[in-house]
Amino acid sequence: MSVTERVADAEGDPDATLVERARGGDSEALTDLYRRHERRAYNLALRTLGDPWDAADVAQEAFIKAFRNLDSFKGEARFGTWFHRIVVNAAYDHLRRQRPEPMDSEILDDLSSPSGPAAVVATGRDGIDPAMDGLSDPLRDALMSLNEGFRFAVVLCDLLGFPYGEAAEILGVQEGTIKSRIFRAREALAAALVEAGYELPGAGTPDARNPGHDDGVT
Amino acid sequence: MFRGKNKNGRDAVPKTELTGHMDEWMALAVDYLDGRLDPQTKAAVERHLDGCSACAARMQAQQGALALLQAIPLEAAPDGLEDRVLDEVLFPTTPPRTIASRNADEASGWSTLWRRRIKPWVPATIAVVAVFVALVSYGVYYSTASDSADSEITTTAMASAEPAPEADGTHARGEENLTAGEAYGPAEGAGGQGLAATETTTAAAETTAAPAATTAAADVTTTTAGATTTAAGSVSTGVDTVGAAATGNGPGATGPIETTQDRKTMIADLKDSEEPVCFLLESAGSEEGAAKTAAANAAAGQLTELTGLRPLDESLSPDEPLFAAYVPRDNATQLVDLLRSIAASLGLSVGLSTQPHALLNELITKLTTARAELPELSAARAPQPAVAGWAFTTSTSAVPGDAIGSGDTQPPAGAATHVLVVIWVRD
Repeated sequence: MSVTERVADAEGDPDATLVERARGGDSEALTDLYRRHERRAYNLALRTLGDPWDAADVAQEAFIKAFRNLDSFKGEARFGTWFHRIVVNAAYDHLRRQRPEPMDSEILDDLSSPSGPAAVVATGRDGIDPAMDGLSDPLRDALMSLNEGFRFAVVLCDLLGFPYGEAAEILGVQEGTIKSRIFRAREALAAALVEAGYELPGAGTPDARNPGHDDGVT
Repeated sequence: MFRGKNKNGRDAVPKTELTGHMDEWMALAVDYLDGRLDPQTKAAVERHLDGCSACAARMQAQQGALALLQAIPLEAAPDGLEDRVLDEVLFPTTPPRTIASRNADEASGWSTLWRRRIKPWVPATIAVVAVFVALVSYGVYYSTASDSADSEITTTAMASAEPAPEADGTHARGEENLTAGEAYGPAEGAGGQGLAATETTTAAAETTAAPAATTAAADVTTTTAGATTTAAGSVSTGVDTVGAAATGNGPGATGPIETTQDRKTMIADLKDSEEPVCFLLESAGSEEGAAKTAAANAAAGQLTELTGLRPLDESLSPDEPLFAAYVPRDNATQLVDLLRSIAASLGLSVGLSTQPHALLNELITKLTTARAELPELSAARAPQPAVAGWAFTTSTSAVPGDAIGSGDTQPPAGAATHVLVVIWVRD
């Protein structure tokens, strides 16, 4: 996938055609668009929010918002950039709302309506095993201990492989800011992990190991 | 970066020495780890690291953290996320109402070329059909041999030689003739020759379409010879219910019909299935019998309204509305979405069954036998102004004739572009 995308990158936005078709009412194109971005969007939310349920909610919200507003995507940025900005905003909003638990009244309302329990289950909590988010506790804790701005930067660049320039666009900051943020974030992560008794991987030779720094999509 | 980082206000001249410690050149450190520095600057960084253990340790920490982060695997998004997103976007809260009104003033929608009910087979039809029952009973395949196409034409013509029992049927045939003529050029059976002539046109259309269909077959998944009742292997795409059915219910089981309800899986199954597939629209909840029946009838009504497809004759259907049509595999997404939208609007559930089941097997065998009578149901996309107004506006498309046919005594090498779909509205 990434090979074709890199090729397409050279000529512009690989998603442009899909967006065009989706706007024209092509549900298959919309599905393709979804599938191309599902994994990264979900993981962006997962690693910045730290919770698979919240991540699914946020990814769902972002996708729906983006797809309903495809017309407002003007093609000034790449679709992926535009879309992930929506994901980031949804994640920020979620963090601001900080609702660890559904409100009691909501649950009661849901349960008293005929399709209540099914509705609760259907909106985002099925298919997720919260114990299986793939990170060891110290690593997740360390990541979540970072200040939001740093966490978003490091997740976008180091974890998801977005180029610095695109991450800067997504977060609305300068590229230099992205670099200093990920520098600080890595340093803080390393310190937190060492403190937690975690052994960092040994040194190797510096190289272009960061997978996404020259192409956007992994 | 290097240039911009020059804090002394000096010009952007490549430097050979760095000023200060790592905090002064964080961006350089980041680029260094990425291997993106020019040789001179890289050498400058390395000289500093050699002489400064504090910075060297920090660089090591940077590298360790980076390696750790990059090693974090991307998790798969939860099952069902795609469904929730696309359901919400494609048919939010006002499903077929908009579709229906849009549909009403265009002769569009999921359209059936042959809008007639299936008649109970009369013996004469059966006699001819029986010639190739054995050939088609396991699925829908291409005809690769021209003589089999001939036999099919004969069959169609024979079947149509039966008197049309209702005015309704005659009307439908008129439409057919028109459509076939448009799609395939001059109709031979123009005027005055009665029903048999009309059917000749249809048969000609089938013949015309056959070569194209055969070509298309090359692109489709190859089936091994003797792949008859093994569809389960190709369609169980990891959904639990499907797996359970495969192990729990052998062919011919009479227990509850296991279905897949996940949109993604349904589409994939529809695209890939070598066997006829059955959609079940069922009442999902706790309603009483009367409400259930009402919902089922409403669903059947919508289906007819949106597609032109009519319920099958009672002799085939188990007292509940039953539809059958050949659907191009390319239209799998559209069909699944259409059914989901209808179901969503009526509080029904949609499931797809590809599992052997006594009820379905019997039904499908009957349908397959009568496959020449079955319509094609296809979607064509009409431009929509915006995604918000998403709807299934479609137009009549031509039947690819023999694409749905079967041919040889040997199982053919390619699966068809079309799949036989049964839609069963249960109450």
